[in-house]
Amino acid sequence: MRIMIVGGKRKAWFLAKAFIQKKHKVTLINKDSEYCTKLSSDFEEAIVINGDGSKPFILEDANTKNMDIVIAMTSNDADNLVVCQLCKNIFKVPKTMSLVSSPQNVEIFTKLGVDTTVSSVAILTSIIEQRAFADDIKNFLSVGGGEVVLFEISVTSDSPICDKTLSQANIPQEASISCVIRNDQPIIPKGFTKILENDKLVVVAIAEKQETVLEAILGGK
Amino acid sequence: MRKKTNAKQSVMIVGCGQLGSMLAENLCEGENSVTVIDSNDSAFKKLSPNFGGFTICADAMDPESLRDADIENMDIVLVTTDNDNVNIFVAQLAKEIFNVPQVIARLYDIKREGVYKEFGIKTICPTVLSAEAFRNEVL
Repeated sequence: MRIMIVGGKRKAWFLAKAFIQKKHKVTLINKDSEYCTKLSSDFEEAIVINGDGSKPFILEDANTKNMDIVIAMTSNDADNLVVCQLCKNIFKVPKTMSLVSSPQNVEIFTKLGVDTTVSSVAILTSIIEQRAFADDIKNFLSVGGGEVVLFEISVTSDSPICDKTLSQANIPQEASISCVIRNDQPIIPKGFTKILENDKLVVVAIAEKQETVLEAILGGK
Repeated sequence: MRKKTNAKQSVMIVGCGQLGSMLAENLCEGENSVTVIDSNDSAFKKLSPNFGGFTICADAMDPESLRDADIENMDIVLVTTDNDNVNIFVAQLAKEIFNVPQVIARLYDIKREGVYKEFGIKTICPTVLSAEAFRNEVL
């Protein structure tokens, strides 16, 4: 895939590194000429362009029309929106993504035609909020616009679910145990699967019922 | 200046720079209700002491501030900050999120203009206007 990253400092650096490792062709546009020097010395495989990626002529120089994905990650939401809209409307890039500083812009950007919008603030706060209340939860993920959560919990001997089959266990309507990880082996559970101590459960739940679901699986504390 | 109607219109001006402040005063002379927004309080010093409209110190890129400034009941929003991308963003908030009937934004970059026509936002480019004025003087 040909991927373009516009703006961003450390996040852009790590993202570029990940994409290059997976053998994608990466183009980086950055306003900061010193940072461009660093980027081009760190990533010999990447094309690095110094300029304002919200200007049509810079995007043209960067061969934007041949990109598969453009990711805007400047610190300014307005710049990110313009980058994505120019790429989409002038250069017909199939997939545009934007990072936003303000969480409320996720919905607005989607409405204004950006394909995927990510708010690091929203993701971070939701992870911290969830972890603050439940130490037992791992790998928390929020999907479906935050309505659905997916997480991993470990079963202890005093969990109400321990030593019961899924059909015996009293799993609330709003949740489903999608996977059981036992001794590092994933098992897709059926009604007859017995939950044992030290099992790790991958649970999908409706976000607002998360507390009820946790109580049913782990017991009240 | 061309007068369209005599009916009182609610106008919001985003950015109280040279252009924004001049527009605010011009439009206030009619029967219009004018609200000027700028993120910098000292920008309002450009308005004359007898300016009869409202001034709100807020970040126009924040939809909540726009809502608090009653953007939903505006007939016209004029976006005149000195940053093209901010103008593009605010104009689209006004048009697409708050459904303001008439939105006009200043854009310095002529090339970006084409893209934003299709979003139903009218744009005014100072370079184009100056070029026309110069040409009219010469020819």
